[in-house]
Amino acid sequence: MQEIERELITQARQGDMRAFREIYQRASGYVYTLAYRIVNTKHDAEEVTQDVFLKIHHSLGSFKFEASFKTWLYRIAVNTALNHAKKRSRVTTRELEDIFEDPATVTQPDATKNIEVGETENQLKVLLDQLNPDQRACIVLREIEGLDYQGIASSLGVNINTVRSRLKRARETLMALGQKEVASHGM
Amino acid sequence: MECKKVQDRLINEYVDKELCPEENNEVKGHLAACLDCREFFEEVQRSAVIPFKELVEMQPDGVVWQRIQETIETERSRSWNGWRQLADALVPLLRMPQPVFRVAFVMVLILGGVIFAKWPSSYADPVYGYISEQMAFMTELQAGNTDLSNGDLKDYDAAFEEIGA
Repeated sequence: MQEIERELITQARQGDMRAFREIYQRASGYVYTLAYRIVNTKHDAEEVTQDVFLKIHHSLGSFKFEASFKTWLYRIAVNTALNHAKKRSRVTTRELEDIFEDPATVTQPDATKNIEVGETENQLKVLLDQLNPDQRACIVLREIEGLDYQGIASSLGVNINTVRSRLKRARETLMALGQKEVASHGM
Repeated sequence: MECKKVQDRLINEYVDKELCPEENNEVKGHLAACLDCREFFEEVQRSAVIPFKELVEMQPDGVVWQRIQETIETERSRSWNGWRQLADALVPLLRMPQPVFRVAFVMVLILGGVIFAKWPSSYADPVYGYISEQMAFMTELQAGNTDLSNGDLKDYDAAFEEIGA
């Protein structure tokens, strides 16, 4: 994502909706992709994107230009997506418990998911599904945005060593999955 | 460097290019010589790095912006309604009959006068001091004391003497 000019931000904070729309058009791709990779469904990613831009709209007045707008946006986007994913995982656990109580629902295939994504996309989802939301956020910030460890730490509001250990655990998990796949294909 | 240490670097800092040049060269040198670590690094790349190179930026559906815009407009109209409610509450006051305003104006004047009289004003002090001074002077005159040292009164004494002469 490219940095957004100060003038455009100033116009948006003065209530200019055209300026705010311009910010949305430039940043929504990044926010949506990040959200989608963390929450893992289109519907939830849209909800997160909407929340992020409403938060930005409410808080533009308090943005002091001390940090870059990009870093500020990263932080809001990552935290909103992580909170959503954590909330959703608690709900999903409960939903899964309910589903397993009803044998009729177990056989229902999730057709919409398969239509929604292609094969590569599906593989990526499978990989990201192995990780917890914090690890997913680190991988996505590193691989999509190409942020360095310090940038990831600032966006997540954590220590740089926490970033190292989350990336390491995430990659170890992915390698273990890769080895399992190789073993199953070899059989 | 031991293989364990090298592999710790390979999975993180080496693959993410976060090592200092000296350490980077050390790991590179070890990789060239160690088959186990080379295989480990290939595995890191294959399972945990290359799949994510395919990640591309996606765009949200147009409906997302519509929902954002609607929410902002709803919030704005709600806040505008708050001001309108305040205005609606104040307008009846302005439409009250004139006698009510007159009574209120008189009440305000009385209240202001009371407050002003009770208020320890700095303007009141010189006036009070001047009156006290004049009263003391008159008392002295009545008592027949002609030896008055007040500088202001000396001119009066001279004036009186001239008139008397």
